[in-house]
Amino acid sequence: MTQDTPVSTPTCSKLKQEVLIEIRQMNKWYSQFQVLKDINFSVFTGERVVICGPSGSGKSTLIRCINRLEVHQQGDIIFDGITLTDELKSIDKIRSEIGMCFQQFNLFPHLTVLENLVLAPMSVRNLSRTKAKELGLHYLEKVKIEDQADKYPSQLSGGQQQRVAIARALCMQPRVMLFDEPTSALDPEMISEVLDTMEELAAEGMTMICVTHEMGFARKVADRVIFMDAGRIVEENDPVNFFDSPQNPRTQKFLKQIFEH
Amino acid sequence: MTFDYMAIWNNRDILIDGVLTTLLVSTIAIPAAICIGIAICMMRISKSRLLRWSAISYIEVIRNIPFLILIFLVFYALPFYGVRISGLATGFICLSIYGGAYFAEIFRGGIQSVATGQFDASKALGLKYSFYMRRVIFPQLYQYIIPPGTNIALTMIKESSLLSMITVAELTYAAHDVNGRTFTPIETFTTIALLYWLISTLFLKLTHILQVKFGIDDVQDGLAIR
Repeated sequence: MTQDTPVSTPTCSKLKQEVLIEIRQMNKWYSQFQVLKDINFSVFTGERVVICGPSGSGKSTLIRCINRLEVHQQGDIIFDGITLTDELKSIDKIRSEIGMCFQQFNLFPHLTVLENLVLAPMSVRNLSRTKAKELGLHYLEKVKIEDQADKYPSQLSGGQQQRVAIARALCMQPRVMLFDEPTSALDPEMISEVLDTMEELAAEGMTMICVTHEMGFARKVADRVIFMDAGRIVEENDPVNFFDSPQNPRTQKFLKQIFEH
Repeated sequence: MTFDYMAIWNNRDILIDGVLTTLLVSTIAIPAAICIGIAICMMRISKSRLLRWSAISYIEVIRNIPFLILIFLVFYALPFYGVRISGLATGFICLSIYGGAYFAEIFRGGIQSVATGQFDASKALGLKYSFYMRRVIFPQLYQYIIPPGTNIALTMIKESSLLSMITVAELTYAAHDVNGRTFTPIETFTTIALLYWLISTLFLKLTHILQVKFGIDDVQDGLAIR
């Protein structure tokens, strides 16, 4: 990250300025309660965006809207030129291009690690079992747990399970990866193995949107940090300026609380 | 008072036929009820309002009327509309319909018990609804549906005794028959009770094998009172 990045255009100059995800004037309600308010933001191909903020600020809801796990009521979400609507075809298309990792890993407990990995490539991409297995083993190797391929998820540690979940998403060869607090359910000593995997992924140029409280990761990996509070994007900036000179009082308070401990 | 074993022994053919009929009705009606249950459950959780409300009406009607009234309606009332069904067929149909309503609710409860994260992960991978229900959700249902499913199946076996009211020669009907011939109510109905107990126990043994296969114990260690 370079210090001279101008504050007004919070993206790295090295990126191709090609918008992959665009969110325009999005609003979302849970019955009467408005969870997301006037959300406007874009993610460029190859960009790494970290979203942080207090719990209940709508950050998880925001990324879950991107692959339609949640439905927004107003505004547009455009992925690679396709506007997200109720149309099943566009939803299927978008979901097959967007990978996601969850706080609780959500591996399929009745399937072995490798079966978890080959399920979607075979069903969605119509790969043969052999091809899918090759692909699965390749990504298991990448997350460094190829020796656990025939175990069941419950036999793995939390960190290993999360890395399997990352591999499972990668098997679909997505164009973006969404991470929804991927380390929040992990013991401290397992957090780093998952963050290392994510860093490697970032180094390879994967477009990533991460909701996380790992500020060290944000500072090191992110091109841009977004701070949300009460359903709004309150501040967005490159990590250096975000952490060193936050503008909004709410951001200042949040960062102070986090770094106090 | 003596226990007249001979009254039972001499009429064993009638009782054996009764047992076979009860077994026949149950072994056809229970799988049929499970199939109906799955279909109704899928309608019950469907996005289509029409399908959902049809399923709810079905479940609510069947669960809230006595089984005896259901078989009377089919056996005595339908002929007025020109639909004539034999007693045995009425038995199959009614018992399946009756069990199906309960199985539908058991399946729905099971699906709702599967962690929502499993649905999230399936959708996020781009899997299609029918595919992930079949390959991801249903295989995780066993632990939630086998215990209550066993209860309903057992209830169905015992409710089949009501088919004696519409001339189906199952076990209870056979008992009435034997009792009418010999006037030995104590001997006859005690024997019948034992036979129902035996059928139910054998059935429970069978489902226990299933439970062990899917790793569900009757009482989990943490819940056991010592």
